[in-house]
Amino acid sequence: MPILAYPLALLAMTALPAAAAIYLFRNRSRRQPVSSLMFWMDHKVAREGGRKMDKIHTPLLLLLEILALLMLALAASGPRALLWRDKLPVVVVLDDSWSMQAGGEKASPRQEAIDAIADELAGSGRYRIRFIVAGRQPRLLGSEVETAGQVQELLSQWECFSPGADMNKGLALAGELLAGRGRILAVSDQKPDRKLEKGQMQWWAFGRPAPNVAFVSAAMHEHDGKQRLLLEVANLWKERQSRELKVGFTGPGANAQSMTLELEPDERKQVVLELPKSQEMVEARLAGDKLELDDRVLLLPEEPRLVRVSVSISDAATARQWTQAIAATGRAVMTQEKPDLIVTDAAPATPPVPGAEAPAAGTVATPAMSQPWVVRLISEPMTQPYLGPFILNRAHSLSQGLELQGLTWGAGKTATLEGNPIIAIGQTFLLTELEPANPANPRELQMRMDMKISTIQDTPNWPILVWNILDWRRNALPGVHQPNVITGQVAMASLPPDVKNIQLVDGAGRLRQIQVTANPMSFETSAPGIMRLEAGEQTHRLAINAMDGQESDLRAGATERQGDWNEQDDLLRDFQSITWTMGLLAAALLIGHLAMVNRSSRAAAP
Amino acid sequence: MAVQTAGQIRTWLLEGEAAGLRYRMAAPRQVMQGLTGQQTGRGVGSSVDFRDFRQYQPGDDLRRIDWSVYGRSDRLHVRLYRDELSPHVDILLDGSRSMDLEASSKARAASGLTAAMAIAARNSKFSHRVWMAREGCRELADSTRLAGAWEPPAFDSAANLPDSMRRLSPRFRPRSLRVLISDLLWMEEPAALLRPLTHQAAGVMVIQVLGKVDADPDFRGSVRLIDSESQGMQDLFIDAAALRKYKESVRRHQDEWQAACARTGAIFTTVIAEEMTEGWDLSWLVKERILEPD
Repeated sequence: MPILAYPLALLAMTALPAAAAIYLFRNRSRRQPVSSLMFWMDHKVAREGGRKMDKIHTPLLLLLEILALLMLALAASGPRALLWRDKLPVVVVLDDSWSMQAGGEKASPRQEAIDAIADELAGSGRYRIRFIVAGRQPRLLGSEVETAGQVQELLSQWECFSPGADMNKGLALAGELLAGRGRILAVSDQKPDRKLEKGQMQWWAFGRPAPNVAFVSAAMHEHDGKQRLLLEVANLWKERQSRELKVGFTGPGANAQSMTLELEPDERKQVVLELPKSQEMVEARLAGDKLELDDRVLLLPEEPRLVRVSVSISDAATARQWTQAIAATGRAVMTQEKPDLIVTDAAPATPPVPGAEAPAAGTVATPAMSQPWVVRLISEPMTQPYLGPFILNRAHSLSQGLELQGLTWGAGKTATLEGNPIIAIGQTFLLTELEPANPANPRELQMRMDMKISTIQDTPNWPILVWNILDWRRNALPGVHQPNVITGQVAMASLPPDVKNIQLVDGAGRLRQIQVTANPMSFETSAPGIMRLEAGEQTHRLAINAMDGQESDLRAGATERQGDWNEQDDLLRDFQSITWTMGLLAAALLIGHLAMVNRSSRAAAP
Repeated sequence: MAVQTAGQIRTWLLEGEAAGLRYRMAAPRQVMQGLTGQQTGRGVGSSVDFRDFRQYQPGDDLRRIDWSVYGRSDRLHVRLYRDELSPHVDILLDGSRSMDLEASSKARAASGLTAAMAIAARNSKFSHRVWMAREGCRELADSTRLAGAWEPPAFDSAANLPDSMRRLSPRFRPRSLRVLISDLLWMEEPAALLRPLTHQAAGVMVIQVLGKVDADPDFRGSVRLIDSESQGMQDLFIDAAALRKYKESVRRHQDEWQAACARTGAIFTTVIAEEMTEGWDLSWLVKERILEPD
C-alpha cells in the first residue's frame, strides 16, 4: 500500500476547485441577447475563450487539467510504496535465555512469541524474516523465511536454554545484517533496558512476573570416601516459599532423601549432603513451579582419570616432597609402569623420542598419550633465595590459585630454562613450559627450585602447584575435563589420538556427528540433561544443568510492546519513491491536453 | 426576453398615442402592385374626398367607369367614393419575443408606434383595429378604442410573424390601410409576407423596428449570443470584421425588403427604437409619407 512522505502537500488539491472555476470562467463568454442569430450564423467561432466546442471536449479538457493538477499534488506529497517484488526485510532477535520457558510448553513466553510472529509477521505476507538467537553470544538461526509455516518450522529450533541473553549484541548483529534498510523485532520476556526511541525497531515482551525457587549452584566431590553434595537453592520472590527437595542416586532401586525447605524472600539456602561413594549419577529435584528447568540438577562423579606418575629425583628429600604432594591430590597413582608423567631432575633426553614424527598433512596432531610428559627439575650448583616480586603468567593453567608473595623461592641463575615462562622473577625464569614443535611430542615443564632454601612447600602454593601440574597432564588424558557444567558453558574433552570423529548425544537426546579438528576439543552445551560423548570405544558423560540465579529470577518478566515501524523515517528508508510515476502521468496528461487544444484550434480556424 | 408589466406597456401605449395626436394618416403614394393588379390615379383631390378604384364587375353602374384610367390601361375600372370606401386601418403588430429584446426599447417603440398609428387613423376619421401576431394573428382586445383601453400587447411568442400568419391569418378589412410593425428578423422571402398583407389592401406600410443592438451592435470579444426567440446560443468572437459583416447582412436584408415593398407598392421604413422613444419624434413618419401633420 502506498504511503505519503509529505501528506501536507495534498493541500495543493485545494487549487483544484479554483482551477475548475478559472477554467469555467475563462471559457465562459459574455452573454449577449440578440433578436436573432440569422445574421451571425456564418461568422467565425471564437479561438480563445468563447470557443465553440463540442460539448464533449469542454469537460474532457477540464478533466485533463484537474487530473494533471491531482498528479502534481500527489507527486509533491512524496508517495512511496513497496514494489510488487519487494518484501520488507525483518530481522527478529530472539531471547534465548531459559526464562522464556517459564509457564510450561504451551503458555510460555517462547510459545506466545512464536504464535505472534507467525500470525502477525509472517501472516501479513509483507516481510522477509531472518532470525537471530541471542544467548550470551548471538547467532543466526537458519535462512530467510516468508511464510507462517516456514517460520514455525524454523522457530522449533529456538530452544531457550541459555543462562542469559545479550539482546544488545543480538540487536547490533541485526543492524549489521539489515545495513540500514528493513525492520528489527526484539522478542523477549522482559522489557528493554531503556524506552525505545522512534526508529526501525519494535520490542515485544511476553513475560510475566512469577515466583520461582531454583537451584543456583551445585557441586559434588569425593571426600573421605563419600560423595559430598553441595546444593544452593534460592527463593527468587518477594514472599516466603516452601519447596520439597528430593536428592538421590538415579538408577533402579535407589532411594531418595526428601526434605522441605522453607525459604524467606530472596533467601539462598545451602544444603550439604553426604552420599555413599558411587559412580552413579545424583539427581536433586525441587517440587515444580512455573519454571521447571532450574528445579532439577544432575551431578556426575568425576571420571577416575588418575595420572600415572613416576618420580625420579636424585635428592631423596626433594623426591619425598614431590611424592607426598602428588599422592595427596588423590588424582595420581605412583607407578613406574607406563607413567603419564615423570618428575625428574635428569637431563633432557636427546635425540627426540623415537616414533614421534610430524603429523601428515591433513591430519590432526594429537599429543602422544602413550609418551610421558616430563616435569624436569633443573639442578644448579649455586642457588639463592628469591623473595619476589614473582611474575606469573595468569593465562596459563599452572598459575591458577598461586599467590607467591611472601614466600622464598630458592633458585640459581646459571641454567637456561627453555620454553614459555610461567613463573619468573626479573629475567630469571623459574617455571617454563616447553611446547614441542611437533605436537605429537610430549610436553615438558622445566623448573628450577632448591627446596632446601625454598619455603613454597610450607605454603598452600605447593599442593596447588602440584595439583595444577597433575591437571595439566590429566586434561590431556581421554575424557571430559569437568563432568558437570552449566548450560551454555563450553565443555572440554580430551580424545584418544586415533579418533577422527565423535558422536555427541545432547541432553535432549539429539545426535550429532562431529569431526575432530582439535584435541582436546571444545563444544557448546545447550539442553540440560546428560550429554554423551562417544569417541571410538570410549564413552564419556557430561551433566548439563540450568543454574543461574539471575536468569532464574522471573520478577522482571513483563508483557508489553514498544516501538513502531510506521515512523516517517522508516517509511522513507524502506519504501521506494514513486514520485516519478506521478510526474510522468502529469506530463502525459498535459501533453494530451495540449494536443486536444491544438486540434480544436485547427478545426475552428476559417 | 424582458418581462414587461401590463402597466408599463399601457404607459408606452399612452406615450405613443400622445405622440401621434398631432398626426393623421397620409394617403398612399403608389398603386398597390399586388396580385389584383389594381391601380389608382393621381390627383386624388382633397383629403376628405378620398377615392379609390376597383376593377369593373358585371352589374356595376356604367356611369362610374373611369374612362381616363381605361384610356391609360385598357382596363375597365369604376370609381369608388368616400362613403363607399369605409376607410380603415389594420395594424399588424409582431408579438414575437424578438420584439421585446432584453435591454432594448423595441417593445416600447413597437407599442407606442402602434398607438400612434391608431390615433393618427382616428384623426383621419378612420377606424382601426390592431392584430397581434402571437402563434396566430388575433385581434387585440378593445383595439378599436383609444389605446388606453386596449388589452396590453404581449411580446412573448416563440413563433415568428410568418408562422403566426400561417397558423391564423388576420381578418383584414378589404381595402384597408395595413401597417406592419415588426423587426422583420426572419429568414423567409419578404414576398411571402407581403402577399397576404397587400391582398385587397388600400395601402401597406411596413415599419421595421430595430433595437440599437440590432442595427449597430457594439459588443466585442468572446460573446455568447442568445437568440431571444429560439433561445439558441452561439459562442462567437466578435471583432471589427465580424461587425462589419453583420451590418452588411442587415443592410442586405433591409434592401430586400425595400425592393419587395417597392414592387408591391408598399412603403418600407426602418426606425431605431431607442432613437424614437427618446423624444417620441414621429416626424420621420411624415418624411416617409406615412403620416401627415394634423
